[in-house]
Amino acid sequence: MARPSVTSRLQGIERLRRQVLAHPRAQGISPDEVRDFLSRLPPRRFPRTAYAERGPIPYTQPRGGFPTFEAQRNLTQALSQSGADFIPLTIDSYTRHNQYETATQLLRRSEEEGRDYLNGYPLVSHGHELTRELYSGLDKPVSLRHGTPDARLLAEVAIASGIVEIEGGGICYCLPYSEGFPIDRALLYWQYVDRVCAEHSTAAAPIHRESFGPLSATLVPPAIAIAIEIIEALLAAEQGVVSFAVSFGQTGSFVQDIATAQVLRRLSRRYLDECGFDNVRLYLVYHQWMGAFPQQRPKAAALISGAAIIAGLVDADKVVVKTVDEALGVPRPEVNAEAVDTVQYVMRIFRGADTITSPVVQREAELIGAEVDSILAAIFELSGGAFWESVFRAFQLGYLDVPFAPHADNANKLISMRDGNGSIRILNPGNVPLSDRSAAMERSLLESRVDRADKTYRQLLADINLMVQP
Amino acid sequence: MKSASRHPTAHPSGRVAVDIGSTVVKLAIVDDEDQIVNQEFRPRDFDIGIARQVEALLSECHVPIDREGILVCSSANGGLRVGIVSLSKEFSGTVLRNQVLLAGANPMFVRDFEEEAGMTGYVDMLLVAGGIDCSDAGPMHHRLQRMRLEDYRYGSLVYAGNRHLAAAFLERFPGATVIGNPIADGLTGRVLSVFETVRRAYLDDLVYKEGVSELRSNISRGIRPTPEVVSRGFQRAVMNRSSLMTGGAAVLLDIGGATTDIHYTVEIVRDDSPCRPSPSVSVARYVFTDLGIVASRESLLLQLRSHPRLHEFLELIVHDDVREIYRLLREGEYEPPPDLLSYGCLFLALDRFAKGNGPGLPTADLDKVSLFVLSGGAAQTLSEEMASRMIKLLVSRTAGDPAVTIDRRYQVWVDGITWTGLDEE
Repeated sequence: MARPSVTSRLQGIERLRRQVLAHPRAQGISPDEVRDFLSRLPPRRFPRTAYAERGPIPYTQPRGGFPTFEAQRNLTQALSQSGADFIPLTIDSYTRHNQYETATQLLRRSEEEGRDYLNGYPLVSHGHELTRELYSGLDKPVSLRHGTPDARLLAEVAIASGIVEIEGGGICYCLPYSEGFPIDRALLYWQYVDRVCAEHSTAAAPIHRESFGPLSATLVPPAIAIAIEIIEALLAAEQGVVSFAVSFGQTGSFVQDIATAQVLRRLSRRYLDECGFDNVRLYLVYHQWMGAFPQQRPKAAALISGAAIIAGLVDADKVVVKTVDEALGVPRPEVNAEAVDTVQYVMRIFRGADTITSPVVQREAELIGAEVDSILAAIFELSGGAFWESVFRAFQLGYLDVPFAPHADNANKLISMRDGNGSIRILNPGNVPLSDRSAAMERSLLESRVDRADKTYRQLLADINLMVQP
Repeated sequence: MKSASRHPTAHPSGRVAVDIGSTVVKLAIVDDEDQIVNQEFRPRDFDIGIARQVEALLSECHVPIDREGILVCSSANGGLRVGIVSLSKEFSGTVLRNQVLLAGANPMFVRDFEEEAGMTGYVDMLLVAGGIDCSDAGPMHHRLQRMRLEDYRYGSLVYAGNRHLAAAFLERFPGATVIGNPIADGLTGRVLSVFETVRRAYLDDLVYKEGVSELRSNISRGIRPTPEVVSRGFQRAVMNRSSLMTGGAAVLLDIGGATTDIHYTVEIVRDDSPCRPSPSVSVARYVFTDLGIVASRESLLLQLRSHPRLHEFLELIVHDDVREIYRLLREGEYEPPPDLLSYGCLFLALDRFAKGNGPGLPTADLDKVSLFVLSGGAAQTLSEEMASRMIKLLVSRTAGDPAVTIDRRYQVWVDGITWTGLDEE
């Protein structure tokens, strides 16, 4: 049995860092120089300072990444001018898979031909010196958005570039993004990232970590997402991270979104405190709809506006926004800027509604909370000399099971569907350790659905395409 | 022979590990923190037999021969040879091959039901499998009926296919053993029935052929296959549970007389590799049965001679008259020293791994590897510097400099045999 503990802190980090920084693409990165550089960054580049100044509405953060320096600089300036509170740096797929040479070749081709051969910014190829220039004069946090199971080199280059919000984790950036990357190694590699973040943190200016709660963004029951968010917060805290955001994606159910936010915030805090990590400052991030998006711009705009209202209602610290072009391709900077403006407008208009409570929301929160407690209790009881090993075992046993995750080691035994209110219900928990009471309640709520007589796969397809139906 | 000792006498509370190899018997005594406190190597003495030799070695190290809990492993006899005949090479064949490798045995070939046996040679076990467990399996039944096993030469026949067709298989081959289907309810191959069966057969083979049965029961009781032990040691290292910290993607080469085993962290397998390790494993193994410095010397030399980069290879190792040695080697008139053969195993194994050049061998991106560990008897004469230069021949110029460690104290073996694993920690 292994509870999270600071005794699991990664040993020999200096030697491991030397190994990672020996890579030719890390040339010139010196931890001492980086520390000095970070100490000279404007305080508002650090999420903790920014969050401390947040007003009545959530901060906004779009997504975006282009291969060339010039295009990325234009995007950064456009987003900053549009009022985005956090500036994204979305990384290309080759870099995410540690294929730095391919990314570099395609970057050169993009530069030469003036066409984008990459779907994001190849940060490792550009290097930290050039990327520092990208954010020269900026006084907003920059968030690294990627999907990399082994992000050690990427995180080193990011921090050296002055990017001090690192999204990801050994689970959330492995299960939904990789078919075969070993989960145990992803957990170990993210220990490294967390440790490096902690090493570069100061009390006033901690490097901020954020987990990616939407996971596969397809019928993920809130209890699974919350359990994984809490686990990643605990794993980061073990390594010394003191500023962390948990997140979740819009579920498609108004009730479930509000309940999920309540439970995620409350239980994350409770588990961190119980494990002795009360020094960790916790934030909540809400992702607008991450599933299949409507192709019609008016419908997309309506969906984005609805999600903006929910972000305000759940009092998220930050909302990650989508654009009306989500279903059509990588959005242009001006479309991204419009999305930020729209979301901020809606949140301003509808601000002020304190957290909504109702018996239905309360019942939902109780159910989700009981499920999360049950899952985490079972994981804490698993064998292993360290918490990460218990987490690894949890996937082997199917205690953690993410619907529609492409990873070969995901159990794929849990089956989820929507009930009559659009909430995600667990039809069959597989090996996920839910109490009989919770499992029965999930099934009973599912019975409220009127089309239960339909074939299961048809229901599933309809549920997946919830937002793109005519 | 060699001896490495921090203390001249055995640690009374330490654990004792013994490895019975074809040519060398190793003994290590480790303390409670799995640090080696005494280590002895002896050449195999076939005159006195393995039982007496092990007992003598234990006595020399002040270990009572009736002591319980002695950890023993062996790969003597070159390991168990397993042939595979499967419905498809891509699915059932791949699953079986991976489980055979994990169990420490050597998959010699994979054929599908329609293929001729060809020059497959004798195998200790022939595994036949295919299909998931479904009752409506007419086409597979038909193909099983037509399948010809007469041309295969094998010791035992094992059926691990669709369980609904097991009776029909037994009707055709009454002497066969039926075990669980590793792809019973999907194509993910999680069930370890094949692993357990092959592992058991491996150990039975050792007992039968290597005189292990003569060992005292307290010694022979828990004997394990050496490749499996090395694999566990490697797994332990990549989990940061060993003094051998890998810190990233790693490859271990166990270079021996008959084979070269490669153990690797699976994230180095290329996304477009036609073959992949089994799901749910994070370290995998492949055995080059034709690369070794004694029993496989001739096939090693044959491959070296015809390798297009032979001259580059020799330039790294041979300091004088490279052209002449190149000519002589090409013409088969050069007797290479053992260290050149060991470097040859290293070079060819990694070159083939990078190209996926071997039946069932995935294609690796060696640029991702941060540590190469060289272990086994034939690696002992190598130098880190030379091995490092050789590896640079095979990785791109823009990749980082991977570290190279030669496991001179057989730490990986000790780590593997003493590790109880995650389940029992």
